Amino acid sequence: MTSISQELREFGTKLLERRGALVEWSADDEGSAMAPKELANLLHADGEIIRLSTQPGGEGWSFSLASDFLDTASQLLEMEPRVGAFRVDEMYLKRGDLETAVQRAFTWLNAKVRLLDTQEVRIEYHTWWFHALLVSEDRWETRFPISINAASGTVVELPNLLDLWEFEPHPGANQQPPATYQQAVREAQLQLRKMAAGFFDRMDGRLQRDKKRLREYYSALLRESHQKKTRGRTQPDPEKLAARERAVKLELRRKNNELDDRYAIDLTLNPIVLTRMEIPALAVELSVQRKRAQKNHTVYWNPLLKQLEPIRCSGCGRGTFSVAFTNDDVAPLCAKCSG
Amino acid sequence: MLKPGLQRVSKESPAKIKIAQPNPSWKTPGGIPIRLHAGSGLNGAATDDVESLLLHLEHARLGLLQGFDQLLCLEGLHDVAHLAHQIETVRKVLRHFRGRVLLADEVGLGKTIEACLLLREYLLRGLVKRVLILVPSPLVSQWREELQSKFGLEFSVPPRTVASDRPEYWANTDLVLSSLPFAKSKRRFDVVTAAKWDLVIVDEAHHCKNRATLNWKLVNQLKRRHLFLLTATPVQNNLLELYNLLTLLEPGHLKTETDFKKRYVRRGSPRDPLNRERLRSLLGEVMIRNTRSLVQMDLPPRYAQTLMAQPRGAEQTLYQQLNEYLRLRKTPPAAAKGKPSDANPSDGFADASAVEKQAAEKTDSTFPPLSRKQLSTLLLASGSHPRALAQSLENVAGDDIRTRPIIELARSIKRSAKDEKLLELLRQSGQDKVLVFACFRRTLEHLQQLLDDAGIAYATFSGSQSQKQKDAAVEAFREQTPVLLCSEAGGEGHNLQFANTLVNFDLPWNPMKIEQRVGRIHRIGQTREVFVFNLCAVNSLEARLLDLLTDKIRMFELVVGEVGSILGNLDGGEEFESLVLNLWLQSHDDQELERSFDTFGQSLLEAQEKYVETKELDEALFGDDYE
Repeated sequence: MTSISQELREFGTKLLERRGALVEWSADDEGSAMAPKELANLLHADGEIIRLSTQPGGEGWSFSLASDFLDTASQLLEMEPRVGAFRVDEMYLKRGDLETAVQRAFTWLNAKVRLLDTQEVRIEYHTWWFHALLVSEDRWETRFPISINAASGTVVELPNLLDLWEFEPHPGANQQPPATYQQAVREAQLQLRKMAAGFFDRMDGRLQRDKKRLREYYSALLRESHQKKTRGRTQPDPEKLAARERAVKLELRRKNNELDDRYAIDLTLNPIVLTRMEIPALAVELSVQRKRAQKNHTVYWNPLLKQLEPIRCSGCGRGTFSVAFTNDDVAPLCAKCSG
Repeated sequence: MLKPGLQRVSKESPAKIKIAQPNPSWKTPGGIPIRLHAGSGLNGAATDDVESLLLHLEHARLGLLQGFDQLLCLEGLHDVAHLAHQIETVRKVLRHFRGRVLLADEVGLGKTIEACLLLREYLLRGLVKRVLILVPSPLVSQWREELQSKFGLEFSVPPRTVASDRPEYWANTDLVLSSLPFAKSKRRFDVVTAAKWDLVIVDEAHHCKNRATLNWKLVNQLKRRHLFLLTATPVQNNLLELYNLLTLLEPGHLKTETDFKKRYVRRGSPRDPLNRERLRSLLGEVMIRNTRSLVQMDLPPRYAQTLMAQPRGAEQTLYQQLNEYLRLRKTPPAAAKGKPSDANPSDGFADASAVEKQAAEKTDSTFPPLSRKQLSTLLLASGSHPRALAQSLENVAGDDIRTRPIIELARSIKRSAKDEKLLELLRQSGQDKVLVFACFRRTLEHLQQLLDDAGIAYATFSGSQSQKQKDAAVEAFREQTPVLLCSEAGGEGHNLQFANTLVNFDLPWNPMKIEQRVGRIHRIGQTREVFVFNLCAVNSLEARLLDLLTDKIRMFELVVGEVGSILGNLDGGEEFESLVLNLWLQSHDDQELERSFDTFGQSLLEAQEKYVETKELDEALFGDDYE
């Protein structure tokens, strides 16, 4: 049994059991499920017993990538919620010299900053798991998370929160629709630039190659048409020649446009799940003096990262540790936006 | 529930902080626009059951596997470079070809690796269970070793016992690696074709290009879901070969043979397709061909040098006597009798008149003309070595007493002029590993003796050896001996890139075969300059042939694969060997032969010009569509 077969079997079994089925595997690749009527109907089973197999084309429901297994599974998953709310009650919070920690973490480019206060708070972190599909002349897809501090809007690179052993259900969680989605999509775009760089390069390369091929082909046609005129006994009509040349060039332009259309990339970005994880953190309140203006800003010490989170740039929205401030409203800017 | 003293920060940032909106359209570095279609987010009540989320995530992960974006086969490989074109090929076959593909990469670009990656991917995903790999006999051990050491796959090679003749072996063994000749033999044909296979891989699939052969019939009759055909030369002589291969893959894809000929084969020019655009499109559905230009695979340069050996004394006499004799036997005796000028008395060889005299004593019916096959064998043998010639002459015309003095003369020659050249070359080669190719077994045996006498260590790889002996020879060459004597059989499929010098002690008349030889060391993995030395006797057919190939079409400077394209442009579309023989047959003396070769050289030049012309158009027409 291959590792994939094993994974498909485990996934399918869990899915069936969540829908109330009793699953039993009599062999590595054969089993059966006693399913509630509704589930049996959904799986087009004749009775309550559904035969299971890990072989493509096996009897009953085939847990194979070569079958429609995943399509059927997605129907079963439709009823499963995609948003989860959890909490971690206690985590280690830094008690030591936060002022020094702030000084070490940040570079203040044009303002005087001093620490006013620190306070233990509970912060909700939103982790958006995305499925990204890039479709062009070829296709590429991936799955990845974006985590955002819902209080500051800062994107933070967190470990997988669902791997934390300390978390618990959070039935009393904030049920407001999450407002971090747009930020997450924007960050996802930025990250995809790096993740899909190879795909982009391939498409760029292929497009260039195809355009070169077209150019050469139509150049050859043009050359041929010119050669023909010298072979003939009589000179061909110059107007006809010019018309042919125009037609070839027009055709080349049309073909190039077709290529541009064919290679245009559509990125479909869909959220798979959202975890709202509330964890304890330290809010560090800073007083920022920029010329005559003054404003307080809060940065967060994150117990999962065991370090301060960056400040969110008011220009581009990305986190930064190298911070300049605007003159009037003392808004933070990253070095790029301030430059 | 908040812990005492903790404050919930409930204000979410978007209310107060301006959020930069996602960019609905941006561009790749090369300027291709990217349009964003983002879902509308997730709403609804939150669950506190983590299993729901994990199932969604797992479903998405498994979906990626299904889309073949994450290849499973790349993990756990040993000593396999991840070359971009190979990985792209694997993805493409998985996604678009549904497990039926002709992998036609140029020699040395790694078809075998691609096939093994695909095989591993299919096995890991559970898409196939029963696999049959058919390869030429000399490649069985190499395939088995690579499958095991690089891909972690254990294949069973059918034992050379009666067990392999029984249906149980083929029906109950899931992963079988067999030589094609072994599988197609009369005793096994039916049992092999009776078993069901999920995947069949045929290496060097050009051996199945002819529908009339057992090779083709075997593959055609195999019960299989998926089929990979591997060959660098899907079209060697005419487009029908391609038709036959593709018919194995997808019967009916190119419709019937008559229909195919009518639609796609230009009358009188069997390599030149009609309706290119349509054919190209059809081929693109079943064939992938990576070319060096496509994958920008820059190999180190290679240099070729022809070393002319001047036969003297008995050796010179031998070639001239043979020439006389073959010219007598090339045409019907009656015609030969009426053409005394065939044996040129002005050459001044006493034995020449003796040959004529003996010929005249024979009746016409006693010795009919030699067949083309016999003639070419003898001419090739004479180009190889007197020992090979003696044996071939004995085999082909031993009953003709006129051959006795020639055979005896050939046997009396202990060292040929080429022998001396070879020894000189090997002594100069220092620490370099040198691969010496020879077509004839007798020549190989002689070279063994020659090197023994000269005290030069060597290993031998020939078609007559067992697999174990062959493996040991390659290993000895890699680790110990400076020289590997190699028959034609060793030229196919073996990786010998640790050597960078190759000696063609004799030359096949088919330039494609010469290219295959050079491709053994001038391929991926070769990091040093490659040196090719061609040995031939002055005024021999091989010397003329080399002159054509090096001077006219600069064969050794061409990229692998191009020579076939050039030769394909020759009028008549005959096989190259056949053309060379025709030149010899049509000429009556050396001067005439020289003139014929000059004319042929002119045709080659024209063919090359035609190739260069059509290449420009081909690149525009076909480009890299089969990538």
